[in-house]
Amino acid sequence: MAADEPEQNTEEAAASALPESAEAERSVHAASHSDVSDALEGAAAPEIWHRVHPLTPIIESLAVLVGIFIAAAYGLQNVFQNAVEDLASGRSVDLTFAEWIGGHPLAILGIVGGIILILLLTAMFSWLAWRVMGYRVDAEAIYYRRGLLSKKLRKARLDRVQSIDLQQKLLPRVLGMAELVFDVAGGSDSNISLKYLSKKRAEELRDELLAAVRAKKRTDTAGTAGPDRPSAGGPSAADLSVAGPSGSGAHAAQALPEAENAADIAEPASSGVDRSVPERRDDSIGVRLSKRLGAMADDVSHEAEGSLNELLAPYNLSTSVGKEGEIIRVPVHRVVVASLLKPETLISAAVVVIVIVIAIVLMAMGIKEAFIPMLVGVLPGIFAAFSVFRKNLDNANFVVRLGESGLAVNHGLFSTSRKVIPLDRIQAVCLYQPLLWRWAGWWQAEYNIASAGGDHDTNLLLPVGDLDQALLMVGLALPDPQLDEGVGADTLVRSAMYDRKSADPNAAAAEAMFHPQPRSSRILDPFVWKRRAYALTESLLVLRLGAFNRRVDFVPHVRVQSLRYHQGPLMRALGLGSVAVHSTAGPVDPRVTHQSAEDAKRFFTEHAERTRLARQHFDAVTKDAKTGQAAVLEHSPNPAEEDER
Amino acid sequence: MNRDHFFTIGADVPFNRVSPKYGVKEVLASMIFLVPMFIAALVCAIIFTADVPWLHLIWIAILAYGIASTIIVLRQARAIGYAEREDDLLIRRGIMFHKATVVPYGRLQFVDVDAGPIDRIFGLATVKLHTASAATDATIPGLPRAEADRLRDSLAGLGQANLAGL
Repeated sequence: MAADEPEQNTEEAAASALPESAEAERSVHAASHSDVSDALEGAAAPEIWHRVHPLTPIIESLAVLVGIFIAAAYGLQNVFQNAVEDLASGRSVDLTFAEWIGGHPLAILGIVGGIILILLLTAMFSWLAWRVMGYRVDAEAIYYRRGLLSKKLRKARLDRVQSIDLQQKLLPRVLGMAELVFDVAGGSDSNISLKYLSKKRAEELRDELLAAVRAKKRTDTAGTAGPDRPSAGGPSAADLSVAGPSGSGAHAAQALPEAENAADIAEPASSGVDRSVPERRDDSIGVRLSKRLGAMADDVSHEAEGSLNELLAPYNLSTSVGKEGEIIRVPVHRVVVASLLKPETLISAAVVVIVIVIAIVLMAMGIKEAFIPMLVGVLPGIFAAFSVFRKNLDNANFVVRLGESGLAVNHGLFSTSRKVIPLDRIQAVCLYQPLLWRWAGWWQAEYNIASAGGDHDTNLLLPVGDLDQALLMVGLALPDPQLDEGVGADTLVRSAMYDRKSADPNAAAAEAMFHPQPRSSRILDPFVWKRRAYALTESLLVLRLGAFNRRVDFVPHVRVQSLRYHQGPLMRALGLGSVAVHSTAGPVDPRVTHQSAEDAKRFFTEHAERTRLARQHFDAVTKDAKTGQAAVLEHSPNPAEEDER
Repeated sequence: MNRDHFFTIGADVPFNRVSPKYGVKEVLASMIFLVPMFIAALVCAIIFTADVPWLHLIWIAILAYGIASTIIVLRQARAIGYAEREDDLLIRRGIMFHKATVVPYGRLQFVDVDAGPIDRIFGLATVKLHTASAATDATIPGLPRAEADRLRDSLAGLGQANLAGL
């Protein structure tokens, strides 16, 4: 797949895949609409378009309705206010307008008729708009169409769908509606958001489609061109196998190299976990857990707890699995306090306070001219602080549930969002503790993911949690650290979190694993040189960073992209060198900084070798599993012939 | 040529150099802006030499900058080296700022071959390696066109072979 752009292009043309936003969004003329869709598919499948909820156009145009209502209310209020003022001041009420209306009954009729006409027209337009809104699912893709005058048809290929989120904004939530957001790898604009459905229908559809996406990716990955394997979700099966074996067969073979690559970068079935491959030692523990859970029957909270604690044994945690697999719940008050204690909140608050104090002082000194500009300066600050605070509040009620599709997260105070943490696509994890969180012992956990549209807000593993919760989430997101006997994973992570202040009884052994920066680096890192260090386990690189705002980065060896050694003139004078470990875009940017030059060079060469071996091992296990599976399936075309050029 | 342009990285492999024309090409590219500026400054200085004698400083500064940057660019061009190892590609560059990048073949997403207008005059091309990480800055500039194409095909093949194991 690497460097095969021309081939990839023809492949895309053949499958007529239009994954990028610009192409995905196309205006289709009404008359030729169905023909185009047919051509897109290349199969004469009957099209079943499902309608969205009838209230959709009303919800969407509600902003306009509210605007009209407010304008009307404002006008009426003016009239009333004038009347009241006139009465209060003893004057006769100004009734010229009312008299005029009284004199012309036709005018009343006209106004009322006009209002009714507008309402009728709106209703009719809404109805017509609703009639053309719809979605359709076939074996290849999800289609969403809308628009009365300019038709829009959006298409998301099932094998490109990264995740399906159920979103409920405030108003739809009141009315019991939800929208489904399909995250397609591609720009931020390439999402399809299907709105609105009743919440129950949205949940059903989401489960059906998740199963379909998973099945689709599994068949592609395993290289089977045959019929879909039986997927979960009875009602969906009829819809989903519409395209028939001929079309999907050709496509599956073509998409294969891509899917194979995807197995590593944009891992298949990201919304759930790809179960076509058995447990690998270098999979993150969460992935292994979901594989185990998938093999079990439903209603498994008891067994889930057992598996969870067994897999997390290196961390010495005992986690209880609550109702519906709930393992973590972050209460509202903790999110509020934590977000108030974040440095950015404190700084903006301090700025606002200082400006206000200066303003008061100036006022007291009688300089009134400075007041307005200061107000203008301080208002955006307040708004910014407020919006940051509101964004943090979005993580209130952060609930993590353990399910067979991985870790499902619900969060939000006023509007609820659900998402699945794509454990098998996590490339790196970091723990973060702002200065003032220390008294509470709180930590935040974030991750890097292999995805084109990297959005920082959605990369939260845990918005705020105590030590055990942080260990649990980090443990789930990372592979087994594979430490020697004597040092527990929790001891290591604690040493990484609290450096030499770790209260763990075994801390000395863990501290011995860390490679600190040499003394000569104190000129470059006056505060942090004592804390910064890196440690290596069989499967992980652990970086200890940050003197005031503590930070710990974790990078699994199998996820490293490339390495870079760097030494500037000043560093050369001090005999130092740095190595950047390249991960995908996200909050984690791991670097082994300012080690002695020989150590940095040795780390560079050895880590390249180490990650290569880890990757090789990981691939070998996967390959064994895949060939084992391919042997079971009687008919598997050899895609290699098509790949060679 | 002088070996001390290469810093050691601990990997004992022979490094390939880029084309000697690359340094000339870089110098020429910087001259496209510097020479007109220099001429304009010189002409202005000569015209107004009676009124503002310090105008001469400008063309002297431009000349000094041109000479210094030419030396640096030529040295930098000689310091670029790349090695196709068994499982990864190693690139190193820099005299003041030492940089070395290692890109495993299995991590390659795609490989670009670029050739700008001046590149084409010299028959040169730039090979750029892309992984899933935006931080990967692995470019080999100044390769002869044939070598660039060979490298691209070879890397593509190696990437494919390594990916097959996935």
